[in-house]
Amino acid sequence: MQNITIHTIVNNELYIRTIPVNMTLLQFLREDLHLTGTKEGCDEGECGACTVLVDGHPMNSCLVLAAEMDGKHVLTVEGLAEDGRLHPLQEAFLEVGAVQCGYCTPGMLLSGIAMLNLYPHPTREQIRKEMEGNICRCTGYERIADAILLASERLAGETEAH
Amino acid sequence: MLEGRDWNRLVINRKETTGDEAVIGHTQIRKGGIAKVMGTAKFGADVDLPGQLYGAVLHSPHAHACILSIDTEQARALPGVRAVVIGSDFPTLYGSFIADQPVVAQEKVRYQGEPVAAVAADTEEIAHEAVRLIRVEYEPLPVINDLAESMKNEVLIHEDWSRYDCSSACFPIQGTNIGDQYHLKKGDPDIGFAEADEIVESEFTCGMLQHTTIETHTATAEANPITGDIHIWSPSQSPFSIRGLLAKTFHVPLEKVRLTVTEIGGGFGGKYEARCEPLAIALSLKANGRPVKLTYRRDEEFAATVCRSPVHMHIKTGVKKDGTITAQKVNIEWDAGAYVTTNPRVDYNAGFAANGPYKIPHAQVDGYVYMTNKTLGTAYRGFGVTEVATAHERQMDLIAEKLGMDPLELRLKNVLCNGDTGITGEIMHTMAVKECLQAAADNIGWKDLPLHWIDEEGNLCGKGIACFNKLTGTPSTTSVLVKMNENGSLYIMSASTEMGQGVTTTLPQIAAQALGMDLEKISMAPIDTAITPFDKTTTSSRSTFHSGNAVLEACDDIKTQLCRLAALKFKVDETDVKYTSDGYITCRSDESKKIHINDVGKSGILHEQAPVAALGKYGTSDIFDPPPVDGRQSKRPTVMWMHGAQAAIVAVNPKTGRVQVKKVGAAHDVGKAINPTGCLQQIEGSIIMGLGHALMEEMIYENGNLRNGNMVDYKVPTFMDADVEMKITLVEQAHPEGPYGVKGIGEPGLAPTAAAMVNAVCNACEANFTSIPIKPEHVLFRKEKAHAPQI
Amino acid sequence: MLPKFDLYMPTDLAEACRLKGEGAKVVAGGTDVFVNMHGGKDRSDKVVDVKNIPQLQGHSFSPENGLDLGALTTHRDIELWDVIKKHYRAMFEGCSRVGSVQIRTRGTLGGNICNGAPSADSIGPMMVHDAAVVVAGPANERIVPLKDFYLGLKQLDMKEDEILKRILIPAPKAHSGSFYIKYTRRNAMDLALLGVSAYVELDGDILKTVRIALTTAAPTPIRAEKTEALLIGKPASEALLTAAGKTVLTESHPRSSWRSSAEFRLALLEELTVQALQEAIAQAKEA
Repeated sequence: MQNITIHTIVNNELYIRTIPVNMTLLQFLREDLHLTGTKEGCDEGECGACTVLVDGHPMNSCLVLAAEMDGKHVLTVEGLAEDGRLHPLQEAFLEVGAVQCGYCTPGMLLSGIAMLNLYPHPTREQIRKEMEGNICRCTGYERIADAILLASERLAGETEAH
Repeated sequence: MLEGRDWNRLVINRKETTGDEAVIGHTQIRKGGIAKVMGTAKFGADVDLPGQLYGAVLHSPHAHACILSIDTEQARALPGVRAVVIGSDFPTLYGSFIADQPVVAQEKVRYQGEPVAAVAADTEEIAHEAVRLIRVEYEPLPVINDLAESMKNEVLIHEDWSRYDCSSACFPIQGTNIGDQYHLKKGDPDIGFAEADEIVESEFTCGMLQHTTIETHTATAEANPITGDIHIWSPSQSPFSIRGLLAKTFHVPLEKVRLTVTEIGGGFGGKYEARCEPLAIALSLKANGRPVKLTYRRDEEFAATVCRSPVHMHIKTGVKKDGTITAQKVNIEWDAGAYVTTNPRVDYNAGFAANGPYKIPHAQVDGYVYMTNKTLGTAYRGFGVTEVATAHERQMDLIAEKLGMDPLELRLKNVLCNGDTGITGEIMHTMAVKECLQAAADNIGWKDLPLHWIDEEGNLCGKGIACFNKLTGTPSTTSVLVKMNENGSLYIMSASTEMGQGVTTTLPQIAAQALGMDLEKISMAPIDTAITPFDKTTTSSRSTFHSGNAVLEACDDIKTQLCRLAALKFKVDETDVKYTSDGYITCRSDESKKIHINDVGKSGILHEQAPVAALGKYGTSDIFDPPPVDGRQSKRPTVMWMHGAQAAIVAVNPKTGRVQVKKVGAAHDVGKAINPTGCLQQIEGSIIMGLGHALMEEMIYENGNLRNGNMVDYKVPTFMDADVEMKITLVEQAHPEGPYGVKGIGEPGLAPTAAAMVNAVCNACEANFTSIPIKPEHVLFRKEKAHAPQI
Repeated sequence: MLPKFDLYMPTDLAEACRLKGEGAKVVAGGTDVFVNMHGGKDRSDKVVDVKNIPQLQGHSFSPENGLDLGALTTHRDIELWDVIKKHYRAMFEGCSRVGSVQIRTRGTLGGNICNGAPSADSIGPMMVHDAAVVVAGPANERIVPLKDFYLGLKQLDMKEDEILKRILIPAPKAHSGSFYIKYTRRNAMDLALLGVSAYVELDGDILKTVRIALTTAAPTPIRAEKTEALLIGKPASEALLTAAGKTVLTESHPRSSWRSSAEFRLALLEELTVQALQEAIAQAKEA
């Protein structure tokens, strides 16, 4: 087949689209859905800028076919803020200065959220290892680790509050 | 948490500030940050215009060849192809210093990756398919791979420099591969060498680097072939300089070119050059004015954009037994790639910095830009300063070793202080290199550490230190427009672009401070050359200094205008109204009549009155003493020198050659830290970038072929490589002409990093490494020196 | 951008074999195939996605039979599986250092094996754990020891219509241990400049069984059988390991390239072989 119809949930919204099979998830998000928050940096899985979560797992959307997304849940940077409130990790990125040019930020946030789901109380070493696939040229990374640690504290606080 | 990292502030001298200010001097959350964390910030490739076509480029597979023929027939016949461009369609040359570069190769290609043809089509897929259908016949020419081959001048990459339109700031040598030269001479080096007790000579080579911004180059152009109106959307670092270049290239009046700046996904000098812009314009012109978007893939980014030139340096220093430097000669050879681009400026800035921030009575610098068949060298976070700093700081360590002195002590002995004579004969002022050196050293505990030791794991450890000096481009001009909205909030319109360095936060801070206004009420307007007032460039760490001064001037005018409007409301004479430093517009004779700047919108004074808006300007032509080409001596070669120092501790595994940078202590003279976290971000990011430069990154060419044009083989540091303990001191030695005393910090963070790390590795291994990156292989097969340094 | 192709997503193994026999490119995680396609190096016009084939899915461990891994088992599955860290340490070390989390989440063991890169991080560890692969054709299937699976540079003992179905790895023996050392220029997202895997079984101090595999030391992942023979049956002394480091140099053929000189790779090989053996022995003693 050369085209396929997929039913995909992106940021909790259902999309039904017929797409060419050689379309990557990155192209689908950016060009079909006009969700341009997900960035292209290398198209080879080597920079992490295009990272999104598929059923909760971080993937380089440049190396995933949109055709595979039938029945899947995709989370992109556009889906992080809810009810007019930033996600705690987004807030933390701003507060600790983990954002500079901002181009790697969407991918960093998604990788960060995936890691916090796996390790709610990460060590700095775990953060480095889990975030190794996201390249940043501006920050020197440590403030990104700071932000993840801050968010983990706040998320733990929220959980306790519930 | 905001300023939670390990840093401190060392205040030496304040200018008109108390250190108690409400807005400046405190970390503020980045303006525009929310859009960046939400993914709504629009970067270059996010531009999407109705009717937009997609561009694709055919790049030369050859490094040097004549183009015998191009057959585009099949490509043109492909359904969906709307335009095909080859060199003969635009027989024009461009270049900001010398117009040597075609938009699309004409007759000859001079580097692998040079555009040979371009296509615009309905989809990206069709455009790339069409490119594959273009047939080109080449006749390969001998490839000039490196400096040695270039210097022979047997093959000339540009046969005749005199054919090109050349600016007064570029000095090619006819009949050679030399595209530019720089000569500085202070005193008489021969006399200085004769006075010396010891002569030390060394060589150093820096590898070829890529900016590797995570966003690649991209441009969208809408260019009308009848009217000549050109509109570009691109992540351009310096919109006005690109505008000027494009107007010249396409032979249209300046005002016909309009550049709208998108968010910029990293610059570092790489987005100072026009790369996709001219191609997108050419395609749009050919496509009858339809908009064309061209975005480079990562492999194109490596092969066909810009890089930091490899450079070879030779330094000869005369020194007294007590460590006093008597003379120094520096020879710099840039392996600059196929076109001159901004290399003359790199050559120039590096030339002034090549002797370091030291008192040197007799000095000489000779810099040459050699053309080679490789991708194009250009500005890279410091315009050559990092490279020369690495060489002169290695040299300082070799001198210290020869004299049996502590490297820090030797530097402190020679370092420029207030009142000393700089390299151009200038009397230096507001110097703080000495304090920076001491603070950087303290930040790693320098005095309690030996030069080298072995840790409990058997690693060879060492410490190293380095400092630098860097000038900002002078003369230059800038202007900003500050306009008040009907509700009393402010827009600042400035063409200082935001690349992550934080200028769109520091300028509002400066305005907020000047006006006593809430920072939240001040926004930066987007940048569009048709609307935004002129600014020369966003380079050279100049923006907060220059545009900040312009903002201050505009704010003074805003105050005057507001006082006038308040006088009408207060029904008093305008002279009876003053603007207080805490933001009150107050009637002098009746202080109960006052309006705070934050309340201006609801005060009614703006209603049906002449709108409040002010132009602020700043230029440095008046203070500039142009350094003549024969020797470059000048009483004021720059409005602002920047200084700083870093020290590093490394651990080297003697069995595998792996180097780990354990700790970096940094101290940079920022004049006044407007946004401390902004300063720290620049320095922290620079330290990891510099770690990449010192140990990992290198573009590798073999016979004109780029071997590692991807992000695995070109090794930018990852999160896992960034485990470096940092301690940073922000030194504040206020600049008399900087806004609140500001000095630049965009590039300086990087300038001493590689140098400090190289010195630490050399000390750890008791070896003299003479090039970067220092690879494990070099470490493992190093030649340990006996005692005297080997050249 | 990926070139145009026809995509097949069969759930039937025989159908997948047939498609592969017709020249379709097999893709699982896509972390190699799509990279090559993006770069224009691979312009296959048919792609068969095998992720929906049940026989290739799932992974299990039993103390008796060891690991039964579907070819679709990802590096991330291995990395996060406590059984692996406990009993197959070399595999943990290898799989957890492939690419990035994103790549490991997608990239499969089957893909790593079939891509057959000399630098593949999972292959050496699986070789020293004596892995065998189950290769399925349209009609029948066969089992091939992984060490015999590579015939030459990127050449596999697999027919055009065969697909790698499962990977079988024996149960860990008593007093056994393994390790993999990956040498890279950068601490993450890098290819092995050199890699050494080692597996040992101890009988007291005696090296009862030793298996060593080398990554990026030859055109294919290889076992260092001469070195293994030198070690087997002898007490694990420092002198013996040093000798192993020398012997291994005689059975590897690294080349000089812009990435590194052969001389450097050999120096590393000597050092890392000793280190990998030391680590594997330490693991065995703990076990």
